[in-house]
Amino acid sequence: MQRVPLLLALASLIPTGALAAPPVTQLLPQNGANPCTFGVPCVQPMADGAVAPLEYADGKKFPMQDYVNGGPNGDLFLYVSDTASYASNVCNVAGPQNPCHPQSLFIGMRLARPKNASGTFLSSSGIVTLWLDAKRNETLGLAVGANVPRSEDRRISFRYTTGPTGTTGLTQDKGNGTGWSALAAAGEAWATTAVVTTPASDPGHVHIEFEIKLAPGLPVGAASEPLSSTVRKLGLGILHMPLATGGTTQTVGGGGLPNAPMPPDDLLTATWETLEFKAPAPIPLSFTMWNVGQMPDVTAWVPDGGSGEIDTVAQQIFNKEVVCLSEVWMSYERGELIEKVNLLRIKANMMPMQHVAELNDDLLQPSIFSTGLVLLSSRQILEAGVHHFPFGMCTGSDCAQAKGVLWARIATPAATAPVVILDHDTPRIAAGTDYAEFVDVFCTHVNAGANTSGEDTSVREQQFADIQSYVQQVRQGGPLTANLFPFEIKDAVPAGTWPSGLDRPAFLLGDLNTLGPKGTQTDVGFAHYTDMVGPGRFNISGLSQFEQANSQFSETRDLARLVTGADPQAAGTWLSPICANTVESELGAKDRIDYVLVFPPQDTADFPAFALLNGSTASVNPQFDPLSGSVDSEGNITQQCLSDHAMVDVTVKLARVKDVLKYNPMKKHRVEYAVKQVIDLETQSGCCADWYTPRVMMSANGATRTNAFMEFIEDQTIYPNWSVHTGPDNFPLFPDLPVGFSGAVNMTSALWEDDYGPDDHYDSIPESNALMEMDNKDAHFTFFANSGLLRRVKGELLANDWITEVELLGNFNDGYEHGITVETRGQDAVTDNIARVRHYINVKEVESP
Amino acid sequence: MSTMNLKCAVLALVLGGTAQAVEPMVPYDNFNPKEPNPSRATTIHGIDPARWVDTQTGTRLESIRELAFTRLRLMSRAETAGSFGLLFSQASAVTAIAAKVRLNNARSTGSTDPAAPAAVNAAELTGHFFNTRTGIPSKNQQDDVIAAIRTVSRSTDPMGSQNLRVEAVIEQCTNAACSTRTQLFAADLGGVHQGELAALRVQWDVANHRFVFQRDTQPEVYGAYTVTDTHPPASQFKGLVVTHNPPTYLSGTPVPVQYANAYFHDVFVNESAAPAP
Repeated sequence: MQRVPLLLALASLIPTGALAAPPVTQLLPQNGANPCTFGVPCVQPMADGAVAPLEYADGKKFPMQDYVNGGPNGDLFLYVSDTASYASNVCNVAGPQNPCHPQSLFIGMRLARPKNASGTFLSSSGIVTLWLDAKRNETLGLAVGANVPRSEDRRISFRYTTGPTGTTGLTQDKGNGTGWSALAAAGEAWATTAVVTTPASDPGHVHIEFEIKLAPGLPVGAASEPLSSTVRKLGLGILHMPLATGGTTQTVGGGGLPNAPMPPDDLLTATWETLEFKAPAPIPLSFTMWNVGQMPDVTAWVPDGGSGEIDTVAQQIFNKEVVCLSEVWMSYERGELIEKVNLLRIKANMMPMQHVAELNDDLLQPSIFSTGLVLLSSRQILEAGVHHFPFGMCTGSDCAQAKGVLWARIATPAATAPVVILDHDTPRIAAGTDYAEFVDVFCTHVNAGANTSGEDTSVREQQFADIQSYVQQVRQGGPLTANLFPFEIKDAVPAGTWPSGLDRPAFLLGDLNTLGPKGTQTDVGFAHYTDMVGPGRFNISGLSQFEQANSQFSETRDLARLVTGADPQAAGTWLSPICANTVESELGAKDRIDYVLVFPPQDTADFPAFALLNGSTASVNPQFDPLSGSVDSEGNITQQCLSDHAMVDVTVKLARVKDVLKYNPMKKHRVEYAVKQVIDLETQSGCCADWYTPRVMMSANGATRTNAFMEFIEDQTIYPNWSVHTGPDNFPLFPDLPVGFSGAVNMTSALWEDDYGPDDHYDSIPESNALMEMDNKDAHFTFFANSGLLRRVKGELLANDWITEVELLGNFNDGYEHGITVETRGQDAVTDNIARVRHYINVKEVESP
Repeated sequence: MSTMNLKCAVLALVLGGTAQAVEPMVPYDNFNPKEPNPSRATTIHGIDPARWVDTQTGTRLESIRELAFTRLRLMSRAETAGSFGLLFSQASAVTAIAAKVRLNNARSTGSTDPAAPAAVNAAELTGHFFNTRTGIPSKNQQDDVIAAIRTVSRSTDPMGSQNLRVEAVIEQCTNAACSTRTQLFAADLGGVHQGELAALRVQWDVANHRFVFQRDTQPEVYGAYTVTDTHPPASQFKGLVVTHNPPTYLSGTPVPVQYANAYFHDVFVNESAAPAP
């Protein structure tokens, strides 16, 4: 699913015909924009029938889903090489194939093998059909006759049987304006190699690999030659049709490209995927790290870091995208800062920022219970948590605080890009957010003190290891081994589990109190920095297997080490409490202790879901305060920056390198519904509600389950993950959706606040005037398995209310691999007990046995 | 203490004796609409207009009077003298004020006459409690007696210092506008840092002809007076304010600017001034 291009398309309203446009995949040719070199050689697949995923690391991965037979999913890999030739020693230098093959399309497939009743894998047989539309631009431009195969188009069929008597057959046809004809001469063929194997190292799969020369010999200047400089597109349809194997319990391994229940049509070019040979659609994000030096009451004799106050800090950050602030030690200052930021945003016609922070109404609570951190995001926060370092893991005055880490799972711009879906053939824009499009962001502040080896550095390294452990728990999808003492419940939420984020980069923003190299400085002389990023601590210094095989994505870990601009050395962040207006030119001489680091995707021999594009930028801003001047009796002026730390700004671009799974009714599914986020809207100010829920309910396939979470969670905004799901861990039984399920699944939840008087049932939906309180206040959802659609519905008083739509959220047929999330907002002006609630619904394949 | 009337303070402490029965204190407003104390029948958005009245004297370059999460925030930047804040809506019933106060930042900048007295910026619990004589026109504040407990920043504080003082004062207005005053009592209640919380209380103990001042859990300080205290004040000014008292400005740039940014919460008053639910 390509959300970013859709966003661009919708920026000028939906263009005519866009809805009928075939799906698009960007595939950056190797050795094009990023040439392979002797020093940094590339890896290219070898069409030898052994599909090693990382041979395709410069390409893209897709799922192969069998919408006819069900069964285990397979993998499809695409890769394309550019330029007329590779220089020697620039590609596959460790392998037998050198130089690599230019201007070729490689297709690799790992497809499930059939098994007999005792579980033994059997030989496979099937037909792979490839459709190639050479003048893709004409097809996309609705040129007359381009909707059917023409003479420049090809159909390649590969029939195979594996096993001791395995056979293969490769045929190629060309279009004739109405269908397909045999080639008139061998020279008309697109040179193709096809190999099938059943590798002993991967007994559950049959491997099929193609190499197709992408120079079909059209006249110079022809409109749509795949690698011509002006077009660089190709239409590609793929279909694997497994043939029945004797003795098997289930035919398996089907699937194709585009990945959809309806396979590519043999005669309709518009039903094939469009490959655009260019860089993947970038997903931009920006991060800001700033220690703002707002000191705690308990150390009131310690001056603030600079002249900054809540107003001036808010003014500098309100229009940022994702911000990590440290040293906002008091709850009431964190609360005020968040209010101030959002007031500024409202004045600027911007949506409020969402936040992660520890807020409470105990004005006398010392900072010993607080990290002093605030994480703000102008994008939706899908999950979040607070983690404190273990009690006593600190030195000196640091033990007067409770430093730790905040986590926010942030929806990228791709998550909220408009998606047009067909609702009974009517195009509509879905209101849901695609949960799969997220990154995990961590915000931290570690022990201060000396940078020479000793107790301070030792404790700091313990904290680095603790951070790494927490980051790993969060990214893998929980559950948390909560560090409760003495931090009450907050370290234990979110409860349960959530989708893994190990398949994408994560980002750590923080004051790490460790001197690091700047610009072109080497790590020599920064031993504690080397330790910090090394094994046993953050463990991010090595390259993953994917990074070693890939030549197109960033391998940078320390994003603000080298700043953009005339002086890449100007990366120092640790300022003096006294600043002059020349401070900006002095940054190269300042120490660097504030960071934006990258945790790469988990190191496996496979593709991540996302990678980081090259071209990140970084800047350091000391935030000199021209209004800070104070004059003594002799006329001397003293000036300050807003803090004794500079602000670090970083921009990055992500790219999706693995396409998403879609809803396949021929598989068994688990349905999950959860309340992910609650934001109190009752007042313009003040704090805090004590939240709980007596009812998180799901009804599916004739069974109903209701979970209650009665332990209060106090805060203005909480991320509870109150959930209910189908599956075998429920008692009484609440089974997953069976194969072929075509009914509906109903879900709802109620939000309550503990109060001095009667508890308050909060309103979390914009509708009113229902007869029943829960229909007036609670959101209700229905998943329709026969269509894949998810709708927010009217309520539950009448059976018909469960199918009466008030909002269309999305269609799992379009992807939503990790679920759909949506915010609903209450409107009850009478009681003012209103909240904004993030709901989460996922329909997830249960792995086939 | 250098600016205090030390003799007066010592006298007051000696004469004060032990505390007599005064009205107990009750919650008036904690500035947290989400968890109000005292509780309310309905949710209030922002500052409760039934309990507070805006006040400002003088002119200012910039000001903020708002609920800031769980506190009241008063911020003022001005070139001239004046006060800015909130007054009790039923001021006549108020004989005691207590609140937690943080003066987060206060400073005086600009060119001043080196011989001028120090500029003063403060966060105060203050009020006109009585008048010493009868028969004056209702808007004539002359002889109104003012008591205040306040956190003070002075331009004579050491450069870069964030050390403030907590002070108690009793003053008598000497003109109709109360722009000039005579000090009846002053006491220094100790140092406090910028941003540090100080729990302050000022209470009129009419039976003993004195004011009771208290900071945090320190012993009460009694400010006795000898003037007549049986007549109501001309001004109903009682509340929470930030104040500026700039130095003499002769010439040059920059023009002196006074700044104070203070937070208040957990306001208590004498029981008979308790607000309606």
